[in-house]
Amino acid sequence: MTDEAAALLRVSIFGVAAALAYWLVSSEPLGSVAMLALGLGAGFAGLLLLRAERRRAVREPFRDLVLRFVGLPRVSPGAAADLAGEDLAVIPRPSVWPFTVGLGVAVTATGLIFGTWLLLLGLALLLWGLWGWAATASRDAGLDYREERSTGSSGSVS
Amino acid sequence: MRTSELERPSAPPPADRHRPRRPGVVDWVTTVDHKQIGILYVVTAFGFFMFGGVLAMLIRTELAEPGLQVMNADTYNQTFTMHGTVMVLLFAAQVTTGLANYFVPLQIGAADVAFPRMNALSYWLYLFGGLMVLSGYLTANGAARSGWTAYVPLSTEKYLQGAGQDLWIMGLAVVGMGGILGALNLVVTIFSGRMPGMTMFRMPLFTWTVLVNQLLILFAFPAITAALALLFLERNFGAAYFDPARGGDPVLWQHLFWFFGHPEVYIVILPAFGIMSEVIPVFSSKPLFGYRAMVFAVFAITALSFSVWAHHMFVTDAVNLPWFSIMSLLIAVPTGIKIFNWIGTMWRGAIRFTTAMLMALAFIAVFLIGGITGVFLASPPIDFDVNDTYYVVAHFHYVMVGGLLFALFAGLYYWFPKMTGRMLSERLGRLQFWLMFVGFNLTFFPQFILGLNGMPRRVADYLPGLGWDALNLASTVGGFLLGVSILPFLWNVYASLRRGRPAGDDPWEGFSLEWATSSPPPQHNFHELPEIRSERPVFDRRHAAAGAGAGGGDLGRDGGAGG
Repeated sequence: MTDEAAALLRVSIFGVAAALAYWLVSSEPLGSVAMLALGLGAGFAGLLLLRAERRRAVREPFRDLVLRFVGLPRVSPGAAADLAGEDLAVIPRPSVWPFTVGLGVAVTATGLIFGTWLLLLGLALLLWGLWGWAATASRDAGLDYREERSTGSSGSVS
Repeated sequence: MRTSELERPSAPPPADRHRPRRPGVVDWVTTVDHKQIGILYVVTAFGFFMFGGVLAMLIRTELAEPGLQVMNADTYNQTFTMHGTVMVLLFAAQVTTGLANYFVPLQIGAADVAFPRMNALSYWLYLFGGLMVLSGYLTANGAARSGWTAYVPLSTEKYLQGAGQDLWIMGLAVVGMGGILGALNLVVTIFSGRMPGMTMFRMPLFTWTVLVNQLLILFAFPAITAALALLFLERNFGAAYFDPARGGDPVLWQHLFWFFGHPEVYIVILPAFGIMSEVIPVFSSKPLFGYRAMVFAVFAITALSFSVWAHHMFVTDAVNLPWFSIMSLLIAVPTGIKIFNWIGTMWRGAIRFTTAMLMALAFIAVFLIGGITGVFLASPPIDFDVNDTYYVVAHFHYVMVGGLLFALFAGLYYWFPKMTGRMLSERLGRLQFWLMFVGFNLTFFPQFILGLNGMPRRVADYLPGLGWDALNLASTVGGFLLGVSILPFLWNVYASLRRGRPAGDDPWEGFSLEWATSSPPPQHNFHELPEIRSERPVFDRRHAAAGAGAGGGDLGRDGGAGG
């Protein structure tokens, strides 16, 4: 289990346990559901990370898994500690589309207050921005984006 | 403009490293670089802070003495509503996002955030949403006037007509949307973008606090976004979520608001804890005491912060008092661990009293007062007595203003050289510090006494002869002193950018990775990266090089597992 998954699963267990305890003492539905949502949301993300781990065939002994979950250092150095080393390194060119989409969202939201004409203007701006963004992303998808990164003479790969 | 071609940066010639091209307006509008977006966040948030500060001065001017002097009650309502909204939601929660944007990729050795364009979108949503909130002033009935908590039924159409309140609702929804996207981005960046060797438990504390802070945003912001949507539907489309006459429940708003609102306090303050955990070790010349305990304390605070929301609702008589009282008291434990560990870090350290360190020390003092008064408020009998008085205002400002502002300025004095390549003046910094420290305490400490003497919050006027006059005057004088304290900082930044002393790459002998690159960093952040063996690789490298024969390298090793 990676540290990322362990962190999310700890939050998840707290959320579910707190929701149950709170429901028992208060019978108040909204707070119970909200805390349960916290538990399930964090748990869902944690389980996704565990699934990704399994796909990468990363396994560690059960004892290490438990130790990691309670926050103690692992005893088997061979297992992957976490997701470190996944180089994202995507540096796209400057783009006007985030600005356009942001403006479109704001004008659309303002249009909900002031009337249809502004709403339509905002939606048009928003769709134009999304179209431009998607087209850019689609063109970028075909390019090799990995950059060369020097790691120095001391060697950072471990 | 070509936007489709991905850039493949290469190292610039050494002569250009400290003279980057100054970006123009188009560069700022189209940037997707996390450092520029971070600067945009910080500058925008600071602009909102200045506006909110002017509103604070107007409030204090009005309350300096009994009687209505500078505004009527309706304008006063707008003023304190917008002051709270701007300061909490448009400044405090966002300025640390700016620092996170700038420094998290640097601290984990990444070239940028995971989704650079989405990062830019988050910023623009924040800016435009914030402007929507402020644009209420341009409408016929003025800006929102229901308090920053917007309790129903006051905030419904029945009691507050006009577009100002609707702009407040929709503007904050847009800001919240940006916050959620930004949080996703930073969480994915921290989880998946760290350089080889940078394990989770080698991340600097600032990055840890940002991670937890963004998780809080992910789980808390949907609650307020839902609440805002319900309120907008009730105001404009005849829905009845909060109207008891039509089957609604007014307490529903408070539940949803505070399920967001209390974690929001930690959304603001956790990065401040992170800044403390960077500044104090560096200026104490010691590794952080109890690194692992600090990480788990942050997580404990996060989890508990989701189970205490209704301590803001004790007087509704609709919540379980023992549960929320006990959980609120519990949250003091991990917070105490952090303060203990900062003091432990300074213990027997070679402390350098720079402006950043002075700000950090002030943070500990004022946050401690804010925290302890919060423990009192977690006790229902005390809360019943002082609820909605100036005691709550003072407690809140000691936590949020004292806590955030001193930490923020500690961070700005610490990181400004990295962001600009120029040093800020320490002389002006000290002047700012003392003005701030005296001004802050003179403003807010009298408010504890005012609250205990029964002065209610959110009133434009009070009668003479109640024993409140002198304390209010003192608070107003302090407020203006606090306002004036920002002027040396503004001049300091201006003068430093024009002719400040060059900073070099590592002016403070820092610990974490951002000090391993140039000031300011190149577009892709690093030309080379050191080996990562602990949460302070630059410290390790410096001591390994300087003390290879004298055993100095041992100091930086494995201490991170302590605690």
